[in-house]
Amino acid sequence: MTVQDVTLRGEPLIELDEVSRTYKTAAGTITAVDNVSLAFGKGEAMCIVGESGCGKTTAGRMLAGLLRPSNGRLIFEGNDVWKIKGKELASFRRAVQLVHQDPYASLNPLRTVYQTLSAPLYRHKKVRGHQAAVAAVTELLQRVGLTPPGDFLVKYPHQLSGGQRQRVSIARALTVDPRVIVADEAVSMVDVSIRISLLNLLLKLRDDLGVTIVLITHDLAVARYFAQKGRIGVMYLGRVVELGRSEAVVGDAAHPYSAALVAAIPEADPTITRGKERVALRSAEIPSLLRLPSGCTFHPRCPLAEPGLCDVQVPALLPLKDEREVACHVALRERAPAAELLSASTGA
Amino acid sequence: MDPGVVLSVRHLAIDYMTRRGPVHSVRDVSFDLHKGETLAVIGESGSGKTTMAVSLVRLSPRAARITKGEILYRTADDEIVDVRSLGTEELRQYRWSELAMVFQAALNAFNPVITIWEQFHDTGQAHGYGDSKKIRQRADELLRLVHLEPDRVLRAYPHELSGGMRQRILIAMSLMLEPQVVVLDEPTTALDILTQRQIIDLLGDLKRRLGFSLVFISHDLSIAAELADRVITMYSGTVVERASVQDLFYRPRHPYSVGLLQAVPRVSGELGSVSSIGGSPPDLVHLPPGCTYEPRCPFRIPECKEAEPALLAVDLPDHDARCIRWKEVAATVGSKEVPIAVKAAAAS
Repeated sequence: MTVQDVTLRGEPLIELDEVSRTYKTAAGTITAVDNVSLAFGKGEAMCIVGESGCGKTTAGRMLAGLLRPSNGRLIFEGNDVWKIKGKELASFRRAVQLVHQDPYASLNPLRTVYQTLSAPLYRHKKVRGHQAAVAAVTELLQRVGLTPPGDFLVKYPHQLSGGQRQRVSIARALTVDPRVIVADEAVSMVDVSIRISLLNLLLKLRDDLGVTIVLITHDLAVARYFAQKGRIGVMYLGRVVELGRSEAVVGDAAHPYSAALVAAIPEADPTITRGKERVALRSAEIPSLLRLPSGCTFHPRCPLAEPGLCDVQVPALLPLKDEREVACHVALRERAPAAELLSASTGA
Repeated sequence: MDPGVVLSVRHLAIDYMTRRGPVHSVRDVSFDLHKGETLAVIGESGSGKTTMAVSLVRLSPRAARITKGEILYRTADDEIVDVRSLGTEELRQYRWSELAMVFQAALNAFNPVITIWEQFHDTGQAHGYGDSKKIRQRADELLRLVHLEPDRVLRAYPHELSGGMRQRILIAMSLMLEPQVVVLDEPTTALDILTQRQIIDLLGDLKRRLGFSLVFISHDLSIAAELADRVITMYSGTVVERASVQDLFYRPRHPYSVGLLQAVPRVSGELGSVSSIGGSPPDLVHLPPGCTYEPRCPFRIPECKEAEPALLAVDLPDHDARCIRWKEVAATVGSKEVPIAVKAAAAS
């Protein structure tokens, strides 16, 4: 399928503005997300990638308005979501929907597909009466590729495959005409042979309905496919370390951590995977979130780390010329930063 | 049995007894494992790969019944035994010291309430390795082999260790009695990218140093591309293709292997034409009379419905496919060393 250009343009629709989230645990306070700013445009298809513990799920939950940031704001259409109430808040709740990772746990096993999908339609007064509900559910099932819809209306989740359940989950998110869908590892638990069709479904919804879709994944190959004409953000220990067009981030990673990920990932191609250049990390150990390293949190593992710089100063996420941002002192110095940044810093 | 073969599975069939009737989970699975070889078994959930692997150490659940076939094993003393006919004591000798199995989900494979040292000790004692001192020496040696610090790790409980560490400990334990064959079920599933890379490199390194034969089960084609010498593809309980790793990835002759390869996006190189396989796998209780892949197969002809094809030798040496249309597949796919998704993009 052809994929339209889907990067951020113009005013963002939804935005995390310098958000942090800390958790108090018995062992001390941990910062799951540390000062992250991410803006998403209308109809954008974007991926957040990172390993476990990088804060991608926490960031996703804050984006969906399910988790209150400890600091910073969630902005939707110009409003600070955690300050609005009543009708405005209800409209935000409808506008942003989450698709969960595990389709075996996210559907009520005692409800048929029709019951699952019609409940929100009735609740939000999208339909009146049984006939209209059946018609609306039928249309939703068609939209997510569960055809013929009549076969699926009366099915219970246990009668469906993982991929079919995930399609029901997506249909459920669509019941309230959302503007943003946050899909957290939405294809990780389905078989490899059908992952692409689910990703294509999400991309098609973006094309047909103009929904903004944020896919959170640990799989770089999935991210590359999904965001092939869009952006990828790479997170490490609670921070965004690189953000930019997918082909730049995956094809020519600027941050040493993204480069290490791209180099480490095995590929379904014996010649490529066996001939890949490795990035040797200085340490394999992932630092504990309880005792994060000073300066750049990647410095104890980073092959480019410079003593006196990287272990002292926290690198800010700053733009490079090729429409991307990177949080790395060395990368910013070696790759010329964007011209406007230079002129801004010299006061021109 | 060929003298170079250490394990030979012949026409193995396993049913699970359920209320709906027998589930034909493994059907007519045959393969040879040569000394020092790495064999990957790839397939999706429900393809029977784990059921087959578990039967190699005779640890199948009670509901499973081997209905047909042989599992022949050549001992270090060049004796050939049928694993199916081993008595309790012989079986104990065979497990771990001849063939060791490393199970999926590193956490569940340990006893959660005893330390790593006690797990080593239990295993050593159960297999008559000798006194505590000797076991400790061996444990130290093995843990260093997998790049872990014995003093730190042996005192720990399983939950105190990361997933990657647990997987490395399991690999170390499996090598305790110097088995000829190690069977790994999903060795890197649920591990982060950088950790997965360490395990892959570790397995490659251990194999080179110790020379055991390796069978690993994976749904992830990229691990097979990385580690395997030979690959077998399983679908609906049976082997649909057996080939060298290069043949399987660049010159597949079974339409399911072709579909699977085209469904997996890559991180490096051209993305090509990526697409999912339509439809879903058959019900293993009520199997169709013909080829089980026929309903999903783009190469199907009416004859495919008549009988399940045998594994047929194709145009390449040591390469078999369970498909009467392999010549047509060969004509489409060709023999060039180019990824399937790229070939598909060129053809369209």
